[in-house]
Order: sequence, then structure tokens, then C-alpha cells
Amino acid sequence: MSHFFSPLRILTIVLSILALLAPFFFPWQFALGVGILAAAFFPPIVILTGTFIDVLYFGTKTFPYFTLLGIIFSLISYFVHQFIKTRIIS
Amino acid sequence: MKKQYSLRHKYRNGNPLTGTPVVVFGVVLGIAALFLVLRLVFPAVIIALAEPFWKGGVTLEAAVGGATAGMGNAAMLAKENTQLAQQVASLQNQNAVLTARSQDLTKLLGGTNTAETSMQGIAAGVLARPPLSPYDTLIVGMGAKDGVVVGATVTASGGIPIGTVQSTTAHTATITLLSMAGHTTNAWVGESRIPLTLAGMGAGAFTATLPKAAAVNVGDNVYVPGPGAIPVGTISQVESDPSSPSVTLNIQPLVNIFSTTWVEISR
Repeated sequence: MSHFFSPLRILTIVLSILALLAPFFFPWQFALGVGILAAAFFPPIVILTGTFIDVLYFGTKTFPYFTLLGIIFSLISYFVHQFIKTRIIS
Repeated sequence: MKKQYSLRHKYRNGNPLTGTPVVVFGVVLGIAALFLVLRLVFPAVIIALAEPFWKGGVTLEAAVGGATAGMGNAAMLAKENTQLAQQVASLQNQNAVLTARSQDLTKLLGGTNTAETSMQGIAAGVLARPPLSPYDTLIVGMGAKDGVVVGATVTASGGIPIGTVQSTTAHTATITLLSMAGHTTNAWVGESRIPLTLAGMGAGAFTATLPKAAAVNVGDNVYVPGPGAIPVGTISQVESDPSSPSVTLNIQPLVNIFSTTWVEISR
């Protein structure tokens, strides 16, 4: 139980929620920054941050660049996590 | 002999492209794809979901602004308040004089008085403005069901045109501002109404090029066609290169789009 509510897990949840809400309240630059920060703890979340920026502020005929950016940052974060776990990066 | 457990061994021999992380990525990608499809097929749903958050953000911004405004020096604020009240009274008087003069001239020359018809449009509250929305776009809370049409002219306070309606949903509309980078507008400058082409520079600002012989000055008004000539900005800087026969005008808009809360959309 205490492991489930560990500080790291709480921080992950808080940052993930902030990353989802940031596109509604802040400019896209700040929202994407929060998303990248949250991706350090939960990599897939930045995909949704990018998607929200695309659907909220860009027309239906524009390419979803921010979703693509979110996928790229998410993959980078995921592989960095893996490399850290395998001690390739200390 | 029992092999010693090794964290490195476990993760190095595991395939990072399978298992729980892939499932999680798949779910998140699925949710993202769903939102993108919704954006394409039912854009009004996205706006309807976002509207409470935007309104909450506007309320929060106003509350924070109100709270921090009271932190200034009381005496200084009182003095500033008195000065501003005097300025408002003076401007109201000037407005009354100019309105009367305009009406007299209209009667003399014929035609309709724009002041009488100034509120024929649709008043729309701004839900998102730069830098929240992309630069030089506004999202307002009136849409197709309220009579907003694509291409309609949008004006800010004082009847100053600021842009046109780019797209609409049932209850919202996206407005492209005249100052969008790459957008050009025919205009005039100065009392002699020298024609020029305004080029949008983004963030509400414009630039234009004129021959040196035009002899425009900092502070000259820039006008766009409307009913007559409507001022949209003033020249803030004139850049002159000795080797060039023309000058570049930097134009500061009269309307601050970063603090615009209401606009009027023509029917």
C-alpha cells in the first residue's frame, strides 16, 4: 500500500494530470514543456499533450505536428528509461 | 550452482518492445487517434469539452489579476485612479463632440451614420486569445447557430476591424487576425491618405513599405477601408536605408489583441 502511494508515484500522477490540463490554460510552448517533464516519469503522457494542442488550437485540415512531436518525445523518454534500467546510462 | 539474480541480466535479456509498456503506448495512441478523428468529424464536441476549461481559465486569470492589483501602493493607486477618471471624462466629451460633428457631416453629405448602426453585429466573448491560442487567432463563443458566417468581418471596441472569421462550429468561431504573418491588407496612411499595403507581422503588428518621397512620420495614423477610413494603428518607427529609395514602416495596432475580451462579428 505504501509503495502504491510512494512519492514517485504521486509525482508521476500529478505531473501527468498537469500535462493533460496545461494545453487548456497555458500557451502551447509551456504546455509542451510540462508534457516533456511529465514524460520523464510517464513517457506516453506527452502524446496526449501534443494531441490536445492539435485538436484545440489547429484546424481540422492541418497536420497534427504536435501529436507527432509528442510521439517522438515519448519514444525518446521510453528508451532513456530502458537504458537507465539496463544501466547503459548511469 | 545457483545463478545469482541480476537486474541487469533481467532487463538486458528482455525485449523492450513487448509487454506492458507496449500495451500502455497502444492505449494512449488509441486515445490520441480518437481525439484526432473527433477533431475531423465532430469538431464541435472538442470545443464543447474545452469551453468549461477556457472559461475557468479566464475567471482564474481575472481573479489573480484582481488579487495582485490590490498589492500596489494605496496612495499611488488613488492618484492614478483620479488621473484616469479625469482622462475618461475628457475622452467622453471629445467623443460626444466628434459624434455630433460626424452626424452633422453625414446629414450634409448623405448616407448612414455608422455610430447609429455600430451595434448591428454579433457580440462574441473571446474564449482563447494569444498566447493561449496560436498567434493571430482568436476563438470566440459564438458560432454558426448564432448567425456567424465564414468570412465575416470582426471588429474590436470602437469598431476597429481586427480580422475575419476563418471557421465556425455550432457555437464557436475561429477568427484570423489581419496581423497574421503573411496576410496583407490594403490601407492608407496619414491625413493625406497615402495608399499602402499592410503586411502582417504577427502579434497584432504590421509593417509596410513606402517611397521615401511619401514623407510619413512617426505617429501618423494608418487606416483600413470600412465605412470610410477606420484607424487600425499608428506608425511607431520609420526605418530608412540611405541606399534604398523606400522606407519601412513599423505599425503599432490600436487594439491590444492580448487583452481583448469581446469582439463584434458582422452579420
